[in-house]
Amino acid sequence: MSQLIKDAFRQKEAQHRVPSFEAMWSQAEDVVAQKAAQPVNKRIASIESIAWIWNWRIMSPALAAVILFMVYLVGPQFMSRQSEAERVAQAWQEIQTQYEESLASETLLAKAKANSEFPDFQSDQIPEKAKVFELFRSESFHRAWESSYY
Amino acid sequence: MGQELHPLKDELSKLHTDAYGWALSLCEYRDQEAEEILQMAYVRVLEGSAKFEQDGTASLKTWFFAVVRNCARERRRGGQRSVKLVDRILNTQIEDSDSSALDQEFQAKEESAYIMAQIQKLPEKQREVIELTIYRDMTLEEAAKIMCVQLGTAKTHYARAKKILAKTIGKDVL
Repeated sequence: MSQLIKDAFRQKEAQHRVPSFEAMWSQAEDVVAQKAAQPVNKRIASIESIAWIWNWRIMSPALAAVILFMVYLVGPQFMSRQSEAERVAQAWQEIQTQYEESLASETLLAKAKANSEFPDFQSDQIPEKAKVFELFRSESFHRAWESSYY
Repeated sequence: MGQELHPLKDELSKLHTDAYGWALSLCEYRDQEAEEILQMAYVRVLEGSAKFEQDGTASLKTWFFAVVRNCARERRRGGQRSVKLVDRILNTQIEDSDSSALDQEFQAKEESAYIMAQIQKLPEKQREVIELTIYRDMTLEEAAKIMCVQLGTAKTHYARAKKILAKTIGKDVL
């Protein structure tokens, strides 16, 4: 039976012409020679393209343009954020001072009303304290207080 | 490089007919494709991407057949799916008509052609192991090396192919 299988393969192969070894081998040699030449050209081309990308004369204006564009985009936001932070810090400082002053004023007023330690006290004799109270009652103070609180 | 004589050229020229037959079998007997596969194998040998190690683990024939097989598989992976699909559809149609008139076909065709048709119906690895061991006079170990499988796997493929052929051909095969 194995002979039958061999015959079957042989018969199938006999229907096909075997190409010349020499022709195929020399063709393969040509392909290899072409392949050997190709990578060098490709390598040179790739190096040249990289050199072109990193060309200083081309890259420096492009980089400068990109940097300027970024500054234009981000700069104002950054600046405004900084001023906002400064404003909040300032407001908070004001509130602290005003609060301390108002506490002191209240104590003074209470004492004045009690009229024990300051028998000759008159509210119009302390204009600075009055100013502080005005400020404490003002709308801007409350806004600053709320913004700092939250 | 082309001017120097490659050390394997003479030996490969002796294997050429056999290798072409193997390439034909790997691409379902399409001449153009078989030539391309063999050409690819020669290119690999020449450029050194396929190197023959003379360490006694494999003969030159076994090694070169494995190179040819790898080239065929690679070629098939690289865009022959549409061709395969058309072939499969055509083969299915032929197979359908064959199965309906099996006896008729057996009488009409020569015995070897019928046997070949049955061999070609086998799964790829079973067909390969049958061809390598029966037709190309290789051992199962050599066939396993060419097919890149374990010896046990090759034996299994061989046994299954034998069983199927015995059933379809109706004789005690091998």
